[in-house]
This record gives sequence, structure tokens and C-alpha cells, in this order.
Amino acid sequence: MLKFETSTGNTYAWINDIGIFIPANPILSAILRETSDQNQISKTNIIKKLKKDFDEKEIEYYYDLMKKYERVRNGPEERFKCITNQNYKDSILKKTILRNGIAQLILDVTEDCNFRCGYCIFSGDYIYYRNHSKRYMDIGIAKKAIDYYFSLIIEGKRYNPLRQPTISFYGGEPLLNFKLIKECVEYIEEKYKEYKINYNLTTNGSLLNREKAEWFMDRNCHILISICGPKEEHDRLRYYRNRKGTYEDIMKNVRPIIDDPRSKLGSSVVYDFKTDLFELDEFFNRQDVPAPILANLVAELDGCRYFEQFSETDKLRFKEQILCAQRCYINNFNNREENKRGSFFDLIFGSAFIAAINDPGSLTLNDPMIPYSGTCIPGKKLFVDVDGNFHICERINRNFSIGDVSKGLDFTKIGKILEDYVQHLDKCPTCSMTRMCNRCFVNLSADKDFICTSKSCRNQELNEIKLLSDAFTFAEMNPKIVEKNLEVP
Amino acid sequence: MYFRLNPECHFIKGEVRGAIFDLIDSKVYSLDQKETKIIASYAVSHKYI
Repeated sequence: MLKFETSTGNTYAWINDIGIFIPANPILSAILRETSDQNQISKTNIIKKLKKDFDEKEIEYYYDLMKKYERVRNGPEERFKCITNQNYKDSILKKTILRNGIAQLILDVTEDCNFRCGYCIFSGDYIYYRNHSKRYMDIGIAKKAIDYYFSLIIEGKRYNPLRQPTISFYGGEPLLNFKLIKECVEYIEEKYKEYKINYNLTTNGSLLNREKAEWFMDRNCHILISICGPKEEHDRLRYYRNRKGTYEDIMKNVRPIIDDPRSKLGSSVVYDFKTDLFELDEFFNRQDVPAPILANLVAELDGCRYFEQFSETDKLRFKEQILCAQRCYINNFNNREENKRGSFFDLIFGSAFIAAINDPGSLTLNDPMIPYSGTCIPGKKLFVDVDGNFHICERINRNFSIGDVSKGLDFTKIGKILEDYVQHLDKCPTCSMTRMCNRCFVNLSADKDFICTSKSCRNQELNEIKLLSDAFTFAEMNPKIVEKNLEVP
Repeated sequence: MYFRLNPECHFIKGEVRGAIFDLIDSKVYSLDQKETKIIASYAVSHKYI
């Protein structure tokens, strides 16, 4: 049982084996203490033992409650039993992927980019990731990838008949290869016309002129533009080869289309230890800026040198800023002006609180192939690099290939990656927060191998306790928003 | 305190009253109007077909 306290002084507990949050109270703690050594202790004996301190009826009530959950309880031993019996057979993996995977085909249309942002994973500061290059995907590879993806969609119909194909264009800067994107879409429209396709584009926005924007909007494409805040902040983080800022060029393209009813624009925000978060929140409340959809601190992955530029004072100051911003957000949530769309703070705080309470897979367990962590089974997405190799996703380095466009998915390779990954989850069986873990291949990957969770998750539990404490403080003040999983606001 | 139904409990709201279904114990707890109103103010009602 993991206890945490809200700022109002209420104590709650998370019981990981079961997957529930409960108000922590001394009776329940005493019962769990008495039953924790796995010895079967009867209700009469527990009552006998505890009745000098607590009311008999209450002991009985909580004892029955815990007994009820024991029927669905699945402790660490049972979970590892699941995987040791599981040998990642190709046929099982294929079936799992056909049922739950292939949610998205991501085409890495070029490794080239007209920006040289310092924090980018392809900047050279991430030693296990590729650098920028002049390599472009050719249409032959793209068509093979598309055909293979649709063959899986068709084969998977018997497991997942309602799945809608989703095609995403990624890079480098994908609009540097707009010709290929156009050819791909025309090919799909011609060959797979019976499907309703979701298209996504992740772009830096500098080449998204009116003509291209019109073309994407006509196809109902979701466009995610990297915007890091007001001019000064954005230009500090996102610049051209000659270090010239990119803000003006992006906004020149965004402004004319933001009010177009067909446009589905969103901002992807990245910040670092020198960012003023309050300034960012104010900026993204502006109606002439696409609403923030994604917001992340610069990725702190193994082999990353980006953070060497920051001093301990920078880190400390940022930590204090986060605490202050979070406090302001919680205290002022009910007094804020009505806003039609979610704010930057809603994204980094409100959504995180709601997810912390609602996301842990209560009563259900992970897929037995991966008993711990929040990772997917490779094949959930199909990321295709310029050479036609398949990868787990766009965020992991290129050393974990899972097949290619000619031979298709390599289920033996996927099985080996899973086996290797699970062997590195050494700390997980004793962790009290496995159900709320969001770590995945990306966080645990090093060069060609994974890092053990005993090494990489050192402060994870402390961070989660702090998050839960804040999330429940927020929930006490805004119960409807959390329980009904409403989008904030 | 922040109140929420345990995950095995599903609240179904009818026209006037409601019920909570406990999927572990296979029990149904019928709620009167007042109880329904209290629970409905916090919990999401699952749709019934």
C-alpha cells in the first residue's frame, strides 16, 4: 500500500496489486499489515487481534472489502508466471498485432531538415540517434510500405473490423519532400478508395505555404506544428542553420489558415530549464496561435548531451518554477476566465492529474507478454525509415528494427526485443506503481540494448507520489472534471 | 475527501432512480432518488442499451 497526502491533509492509498485508490485509514492499514505475510488469517482472528483498537463492525467491513479484491488480485509472482510461460511465438505476436496494433503507418519521408534546433534528437547531441542527412524516401519504398500496411489492415479485419487506417508524414521536415507526400496520397486515394483515411503531418511550419495548407486541409489532415512559445523563446529553441530564428516565417504561414473552418492545427511545444512557463501559458491562450496538443520537456534520454549546458541553479530554478506554476494552476482553476480551448497549463498539469487518477489500469493487467511498464507491443505503430526498414516508433533510435517493406514485419525479431526488454524490468516486481507506469522502449533504450529499471527508475516512485498528491488535491477541488474525465477546461 | 466509485462498481442512471452494479460480487444496489442524485453529481452513468 502506497500512502500519499493531499495539501488539505487527507490521506489516500494506492493498492497496486489490485489497482485501486482508497481513502487510507488506520483500520485498513492494520488489516493489510496483518494479512501482508501471505498467511491466511481468518476474519475472527483479525477481529480478535484488532478489536481493542477499532470498532468490530468496521474491521469486518474492511476485511470483507479486501477479501473481495483478493479474488481479482494478481501479485508479482503471478505476473512473472505469465511471462515465463510465454515464449513470444510468431503466431501469437501476429495475432496480437493484428488485433491491437497497426494503428498508424508513419512514413519518414526525409532525414533532411531546414532547421537546426539544438534540442532535436537528430541534432547530434543524442549519440544513439541519427544526424540530419540529405536522404529522402523514394516512391517505390513508400508504395511498398503503404501496400504492406493495408494488407495488415485487411488481414486484421476479422479481429478489429472498425479500425481506420491512419497515415502520418514525419521527418526531418516532411514538407521538404512534399512531392512524395502528394504521390503517396494520390496512390492511396486511387488504390484504397473504399477506406476513410486519417492523415497526420508533423511539420516545423516554415514551408507550409497557402497552397500546401489548402491541399492538406482538403484532405482533412491533422497538422501538428512545432511552436515553442513567443518569438524570443521560440527563436532560442528553433532556428535555421545560420542560427536565425524561425518564428516569423512560421507564424506568417499559420495566421492565414488558423481561422479556416477546415483547418485542424495544433501546436507541439517543447521547453527546457530556461523556459518561462507562465509566459508560455499566456502565449498559448492567444487565439491566433494553434492550441497546444503536445507539450514536453526536452527529451532526457540515455546518451543525450543537451542538458550539459544547464547549471544546477538552472535546474533548481526550473523545479521551483514548476512547483509555483502548479500551485497557481490548482488554486486558480475555478476562478479562471472561460476559455473555449485547453491552455498550456491544462495540458501539462490538468491532463496529467486526470491521467494519474483515471489511467492506471484498474483491476486489469498488462498484456502477459509485457507484465510491467507502459510500453506497447512493437507493431502498435509502423514507422518506416527512408530505406524502408520498420521501427517500433518514431521516437526510438534506429537500432531496434522490426522488419522491412520487402519482407514485412519480422515477428522473431519482435519476440527477441520483447524478451530482452522484459529481462531488463528487474525492479518492477517490487515497485508499488507498476500499473501507472508510462515508461516504454524509448525511455529504457540505450544504444542497441535496454537499461535495467533498477538503474533508470531510481526516483520514479518519489515523483509519482508527488504527482498523486497534487492530482488528488486537484480532484478534491474539481471532482466532476476528474471523475467525468472531461477535457480541461 | 475525493469520492469515487471503485472500479468494479458501475453506476447506471435511470429516468428517476439509479443502481450500482458490483461486477466482482455480482450484486446490484438499488438507489432511491436522493441517493441517485448524490451519486450522479460525481459519477459517470454508463449507458444502457
